[in-house]
Amino acid sequence: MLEVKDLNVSYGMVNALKGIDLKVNDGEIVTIIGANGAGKSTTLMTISGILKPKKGYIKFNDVDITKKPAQNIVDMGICQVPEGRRIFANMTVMENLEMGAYLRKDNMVKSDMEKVFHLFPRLKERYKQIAGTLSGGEQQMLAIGRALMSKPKVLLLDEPSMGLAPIVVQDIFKTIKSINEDGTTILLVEQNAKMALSIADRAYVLETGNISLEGAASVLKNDERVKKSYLGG
Amino acid sequence: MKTFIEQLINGLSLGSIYALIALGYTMVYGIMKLINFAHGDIYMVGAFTGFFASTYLHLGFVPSLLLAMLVSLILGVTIERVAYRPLRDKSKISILITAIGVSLLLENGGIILLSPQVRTYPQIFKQHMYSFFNGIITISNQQIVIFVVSIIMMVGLQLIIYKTKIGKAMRAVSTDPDAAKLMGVNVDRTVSFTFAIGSALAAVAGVLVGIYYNSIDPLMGIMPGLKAFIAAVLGGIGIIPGAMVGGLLMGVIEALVSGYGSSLYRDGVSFAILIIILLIKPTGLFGKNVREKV
Repeated sequence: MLEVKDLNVSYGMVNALKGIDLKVNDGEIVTIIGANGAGKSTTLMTISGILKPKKGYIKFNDVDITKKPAQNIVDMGICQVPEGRRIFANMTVMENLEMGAYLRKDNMVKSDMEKVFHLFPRLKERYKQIAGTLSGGEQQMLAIGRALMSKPKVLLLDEPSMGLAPIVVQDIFKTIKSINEDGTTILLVEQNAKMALSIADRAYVLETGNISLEGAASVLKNDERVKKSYLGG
Repeated sequence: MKTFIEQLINGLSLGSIYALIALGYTMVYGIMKLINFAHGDIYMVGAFTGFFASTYLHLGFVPSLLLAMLVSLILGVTIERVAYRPLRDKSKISILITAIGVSLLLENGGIILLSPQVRTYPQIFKQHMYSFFNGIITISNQQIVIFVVSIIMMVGLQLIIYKTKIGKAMRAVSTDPDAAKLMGVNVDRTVSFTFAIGSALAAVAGVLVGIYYNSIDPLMGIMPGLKAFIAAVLGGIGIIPGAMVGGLLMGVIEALVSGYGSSLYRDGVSFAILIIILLIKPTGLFGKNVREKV
């Protein structure tokens, strides 16, 4: 469904990605794990069209999307929940969700909002509240809900566990799993390798701009190198 | 008492005009963190378009106003497209200096094309005074026109910003342009739209000034441009209600200084206000210190 080939991205003189290949199949949860600065967010930002690669291509359902502007990529069905949530802090919860549906012209937006509220009842209670006043966990829910409003075929998630209490992280991951079961393909970037590997089908390990390992999540979970570097021994 | 009310009404008329100009400054700042120094000159072009439309094309008030809005809108969008957009990813200082350059170009271009002479604005509304409460409140029909038009414009702007899709996109882009892109917002188009609205409002201010003061010239944008900029900073730059309140306050303060002190001090007081805000509350009256949650 999503295919990345030989992707090279640099910021000025720094090469953040040095030719990575990855694939996400329809219906999967694929995770990219790795340390800070390995290039995980760069990968997602390039897929979303915010960053432009120096070399390589990105294909979505066999269409080359490498040079397409960000709004076309959203329109084709790839939406991202960015790192740090980046909700629109001075807009209400409802307006944030409406922004997620920005490109949609169908009349199912209202009923999809109900679906998001069903997934995150807390958002329904607070739909008139200014988004910046929500707690960290609620903001993460809003960021995911906002992306779901675009009706993505592939949902890109960047560090959804960041800065959240362990119990909230568990909730969020449960929700990600259920979003996937409803038919949305997921590409998840995480530093919390343990949580990520527990829900993913397949995984890639990214190290300073290169993919060092890949395979089934269940296999990588027991790999000695992964255990040592990412799962705390 | 009578002088006070008289000056208050004068101040609110002038303040409405400042507010209309200040809105353009604040919207453009909100969306691309740029002080568009050419904004005062877009206001001048609006005033001249209104002047030509009513003097030579013999159009009435509303058609000349609409034509002035259209011409300024096209000018504003073109300036952004040609001069600012290529520099958007460059350092802030280069785009600021470009803005000053565009401003000088419009002022001196105006002197060459229109001649530096002061023109007399046609009397679209023959002055007529109305008085209420035994003459305690007197107000001219021109002032009424200024109030009515300004209120329509400001209410219209609020409706656009809070009730329409493009308005929501403007607010989203001003908070986080990349996050807005990730939701599918076309940032370039949103920025163009912001310049379009800001420039059209400046044109309205230009036409209203022509009617109120009866005289226009190619350098007329400099002082009101600076004053409106101060008004935007006073209210809190980037905050739309701040620009409205800041504009009205500036107008009232100037009128009271002229009425009770001397009009020679008027400009000095305005700039003193700028210095005081920057020292005491740089975020302006409506500004909040935004803290991000992690």
